[in-house]
Amino acid sequence: MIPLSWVLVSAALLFGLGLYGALARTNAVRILIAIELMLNAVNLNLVGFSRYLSPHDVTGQVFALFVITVAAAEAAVGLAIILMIVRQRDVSDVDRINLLKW
Amino acid sequence: MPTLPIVGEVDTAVLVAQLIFLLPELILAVTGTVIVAISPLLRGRERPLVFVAATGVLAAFAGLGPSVGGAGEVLARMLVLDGTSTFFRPVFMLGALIVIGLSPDYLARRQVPAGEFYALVLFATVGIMLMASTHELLMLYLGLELASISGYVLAGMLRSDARSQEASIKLFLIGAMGSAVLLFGLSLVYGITGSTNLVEIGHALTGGAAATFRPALLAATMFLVAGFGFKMAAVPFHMYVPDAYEGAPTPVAAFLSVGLEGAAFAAAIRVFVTGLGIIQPNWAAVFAVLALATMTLGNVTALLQQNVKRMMAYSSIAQAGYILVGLAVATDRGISAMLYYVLAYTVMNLGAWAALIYLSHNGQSEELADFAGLGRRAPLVAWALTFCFLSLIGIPPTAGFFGKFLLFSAAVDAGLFWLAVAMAVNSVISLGYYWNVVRAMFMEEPATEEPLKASPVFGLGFTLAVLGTLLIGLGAAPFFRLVSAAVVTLP
Repeated sequence: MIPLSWVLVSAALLFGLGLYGALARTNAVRILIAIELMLNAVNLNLVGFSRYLSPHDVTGQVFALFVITVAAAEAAVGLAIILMIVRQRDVSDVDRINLLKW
Repeated sequence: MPTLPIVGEVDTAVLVAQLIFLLPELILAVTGTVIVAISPLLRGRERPLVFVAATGVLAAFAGLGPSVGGAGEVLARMLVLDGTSTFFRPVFMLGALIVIGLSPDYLARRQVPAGEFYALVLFATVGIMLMASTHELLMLYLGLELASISGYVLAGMLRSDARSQEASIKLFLIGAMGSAVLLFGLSLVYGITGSTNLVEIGHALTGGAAATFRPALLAATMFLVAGFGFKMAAVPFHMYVPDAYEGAPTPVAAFLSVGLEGAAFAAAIRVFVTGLGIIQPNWAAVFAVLALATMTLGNVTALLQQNVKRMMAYSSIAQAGYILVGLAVATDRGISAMLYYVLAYTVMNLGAWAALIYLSHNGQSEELADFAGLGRRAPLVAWALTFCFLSLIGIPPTAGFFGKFLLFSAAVDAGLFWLAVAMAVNSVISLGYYWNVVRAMFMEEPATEEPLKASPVFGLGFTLAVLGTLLIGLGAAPFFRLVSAAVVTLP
């Protein structure tokens, strides 16, 4: 059996990768994908904990299912927003979405 | 076959009977759905929908009846009935009701599809109410996302306005990232304690888990602080807030600033006090620093703004800093002061935003220059705005004064003198930018004498906000009792 620490380390790496992507990338779609990576890291955590804490406790797995569903809804709304901007202004680079600035 | 803990031994009949406790949320969700369904049939004449939405909220108030006085966790432990939820649910509905009243003129002027707007406000309200009334991490997350996703769409409702689009994408990208960070913290807490119920999490932590997994627990706490920080608009997680509020339709900015922020505070109280109470010194210190940074940066930056809408965005950041003092203190008095302040903030901040909505539905922009001579063109609005500003500064006998006073004395009580002093200094700083607007309204000549108009519905919403600010201040005593009662039930 794979030890829990492997699951947690890979989840942490995945989360770090996603966070880096979300902060360092400027293309809105790339940022969205990076955020999805972060959410998948959460799912990995949840399912890993659920499996190792007690084999009969499915709370973590149910939680992960909800996270997946909500992430899909979030991505749908996000892509719609990005599409709205691209249609009108032909940019998906967040550095160029800069009308509002202090 | 092991029993599944989520459903547990809960009887279906009991579950259905307990739906009565969810009545306010159900009414709001059904009203929203009905509005979505009928708005295409109205072919652009969507103005009457404001009455449908308002009636839905009023019915939801009535639906609170069975929940009042109830105690304990119902609906398979997804909903908790206690003082805190009894307090927050009507507060959030009041906020939604005021926003709905303020909106119709603006929506008509800017050609925003009113049906979608009201429906999304109602759905978001369901989300924030659920956030404030659950001990279950899963439910908290779902409520948060329901409110946030509705908020992303609401911010982009001026579809052809590039600034509204920009507000929407900024709110979305940062909001989704904040949710992911928060969720990572929640997953770690679940792993450490083996439970997603905050009361059980509290028990597991006091039962030894806190000592065994201390480093992991501290890491989880940091993720939670950051995640909630995004939603509360706390410095340094506030960077998107001014842009989002400035670009978003004005009623939406008003709604987000009170609804979503208020719900983030309500959920934070539950997670940190009920769940992570045992490591209170650790997170309270972080919140103290965040509170100081948030109120100071919010106020100082607000001083530099020429656009009043952006100024109000920084002002709401500063207000979030004051509310954070409650979490920094984290005593019963601190938490009850926080509840009182969220209530006061809801009405006084909506009152101030109402004046901005009033200007923009009359075709003005929201620059400081547009406020020139408002005292002559629309004296009632100008005086009401001045009154709400007094409340936001914290001058008696307004609601804001008592809120600040409670937070101040709670901080002194807990030995956080420096934070109390910082609050007082910040109130003085905030005088500067509110005064700019008041001076423009009463001491400058208007560029035009063209009269400003508003519909009776707007007047009702505005009156509700201003009257609330006055009454919650003048008749503070029953509200003190209410918040003290609300906090007693926190373990």
